[in-house]
Amino acid sequence: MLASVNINLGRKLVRNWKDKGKSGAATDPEDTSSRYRPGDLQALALSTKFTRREIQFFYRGFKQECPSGNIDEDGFREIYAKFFPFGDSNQYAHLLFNVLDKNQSGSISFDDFIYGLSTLIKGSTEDRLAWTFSLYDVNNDGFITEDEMLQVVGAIYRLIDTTQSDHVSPEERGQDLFTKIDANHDGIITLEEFMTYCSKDATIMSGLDMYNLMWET
Amino acid sequence: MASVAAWLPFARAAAIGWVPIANNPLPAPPIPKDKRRADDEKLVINVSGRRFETWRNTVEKYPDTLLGSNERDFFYDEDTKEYFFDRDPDIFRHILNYYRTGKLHYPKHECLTSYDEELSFFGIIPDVIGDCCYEDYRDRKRENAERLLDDKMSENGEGNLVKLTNLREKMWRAFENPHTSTAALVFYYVTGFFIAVSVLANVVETVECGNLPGKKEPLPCGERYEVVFFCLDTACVMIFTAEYLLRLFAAPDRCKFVRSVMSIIDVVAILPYYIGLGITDNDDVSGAFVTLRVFRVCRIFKFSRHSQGLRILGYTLKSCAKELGFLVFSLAMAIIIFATVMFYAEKKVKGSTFTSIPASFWYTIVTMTTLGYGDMVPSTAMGKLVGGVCSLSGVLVIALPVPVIVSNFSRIYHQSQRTDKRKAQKKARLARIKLAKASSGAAFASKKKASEARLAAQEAGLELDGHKEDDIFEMQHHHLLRCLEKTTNLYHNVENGHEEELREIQIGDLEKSTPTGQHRVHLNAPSGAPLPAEGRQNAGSLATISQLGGGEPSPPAADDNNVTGYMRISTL
Repeated sequence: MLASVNINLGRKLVRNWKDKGKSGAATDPEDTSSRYRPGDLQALALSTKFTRREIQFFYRGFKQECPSGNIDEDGFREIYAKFFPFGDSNQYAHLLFNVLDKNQSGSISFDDFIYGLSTLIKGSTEDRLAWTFSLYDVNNDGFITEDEMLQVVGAIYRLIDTTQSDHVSPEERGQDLFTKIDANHDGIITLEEFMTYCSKDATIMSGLDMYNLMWET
Repeated sequence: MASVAAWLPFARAAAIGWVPIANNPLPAPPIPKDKRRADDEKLVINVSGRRFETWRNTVEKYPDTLLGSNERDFFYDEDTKEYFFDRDPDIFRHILNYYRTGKLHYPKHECLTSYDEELSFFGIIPDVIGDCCYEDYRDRKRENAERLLDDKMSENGEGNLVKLTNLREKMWRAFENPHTSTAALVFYYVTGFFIAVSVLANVVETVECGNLPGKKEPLPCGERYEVVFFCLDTACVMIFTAEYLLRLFAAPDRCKFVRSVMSIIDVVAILPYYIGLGITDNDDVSGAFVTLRVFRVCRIFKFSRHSQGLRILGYTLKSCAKELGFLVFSLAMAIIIFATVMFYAEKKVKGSTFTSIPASFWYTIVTMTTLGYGDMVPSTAMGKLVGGVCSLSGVLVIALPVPVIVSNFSRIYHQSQRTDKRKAQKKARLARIKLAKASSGAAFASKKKASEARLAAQEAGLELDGHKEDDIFEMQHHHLLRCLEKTTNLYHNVENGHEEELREIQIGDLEKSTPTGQHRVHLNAPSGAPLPAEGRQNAGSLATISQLGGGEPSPPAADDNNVTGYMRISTL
């Protein structure tokens, strides 16, 4: 009986180990057993509120760039860099990658991609702000520290031509913003503080309106 | 940019991260006028019957090519709602793959020029060929260019045949290409003969000829028949000197000629003789005189002008200089090593032939080349061991650079053979081309006559039944040429050789097509423009035909112009 228990245990362990490998990460490009297949189109359409055609369009583009079904950070950075030829997009791409890669597996599958996109395009203002909060929250601990804020602001400024010197440096801007958002001045920003600030600030609200406009068509 | 068009929505979505830190209000987004999503549309591209379908997005990835820009609208077929290209579908496959994957591949089985043509038609520059295929493409392009250059050069070389009238240039060409004239050929063979005679005389000079009466030892022929050999030598040297001076005179660039290898060989061949004449029978210098005779053997190198194989061999050795250098260097290294070891191994042996290291060099060389004369043999066990290793390594060291030299020789030899073959084929090819041109010229002339007759008949208001179904293009073309003739008062002319048969054919046709007897009378009556069998100027017959119509006769001035100022058109 002990032997059978051992065998079962062994089998479970092997299965676990295999499943881990199958969760979507394809670190070894030759390992075809861990090739990624997206979920059912219908289910995706229902859960992400995109139409079938839209999901098809996105998937085709996704698959064109990463035929294996997963994209790792380097590939993601390359693609993102194509949109910002004048600056250094690596930092911001890194931040984006972290947000999209929910389970921290090191690669983004199509499901991650489409869910992220759905939140941004089809989600409500609260969802979008929550997503933005998690973008700023680099280490995913639920709070934004000043360092994280500076990191994000610096990354954004680097997207544009880095040799230009603005009259306001990114550090100053970041600190300024941090102190503004951090209402109780405890050195960290929580989700509530973030939401409160964004809903009060006129510029941000108009920015969000513009953002909504982008997706109305 | 558009290659990641599907990701653009994501990039825009991710811009939400910038919203909190924005100082200024963000600009309004552009609203597409056309609500329909353009990226969902498929294009059908029909290339010579084979249909390719792709997303509009795919081809718009590269907007500076034909397919990606408005230029493709020129090829849009409204009836079938597809883009039609009358091009090669096999190569188009690769071009479309370029749009799909971003990499342009070059198929090895396709001809380079046709591929290049397709690329230039579709507006794609060859530089975007992917790394996997780029080298192959470059190599073939270079080969092609070299071949074209070769052809052009040889064409130019032969094309200049008619132009040179200068004596000097004629002589130079005669020297370089013996096949251009009989005199050159004669000269070529005479010099060849004398080279052979000279070399043979040098050889026979040293053979033992039998005894002179009163002498004990047999004499070499050179000393027995001294006068004969001297006369022979003089004659040969005369010929060679004359040849050299003539070449020097005819050379277009004298300095370059003097520095060239062949001229140096010529000089070395004849100089010993003159130096020998100058030297008296002094004992001191007679040794030097004997040495000079050795240089007479250089005459044999003069054969390289006569033999292409020899030239190729020389050229090969020159081009393999690096390999030969490596061979010599490695041999030298090995020789020194083994000679040293042998010397110290055999030093203790009494009466050993290995007296010094340089003396051991001889043994090493003989062993490494596996000659093994046996004049120097090791006696100690150590020496024998080293000798064995020496001979084995010799085989290896010599065998290594030899295949490189052989392959070089083979390549150059085949190249020169191909050039020769092409030259020979070129003559046949030119003859065939000329024939084709002539026949097309004849066809053109006959058609021209037919249409002119028809036009003339039309002018006269005749009805031509049995109207031949000539296509409208030909008729318009001839009408155009006729307008030109009328404008300039000159007439088109064709090669004299063909006109007789053509004229007779035309007359025969005209007889069939013109029913009225009146015209037949005109035809048969030689009205100042007879129908001779001899090659008369065409103008006369044209005048006849134009008078056939009965309309205004060709102006007399035109007649004179016909004869004197006719225009030769190149047959199309």
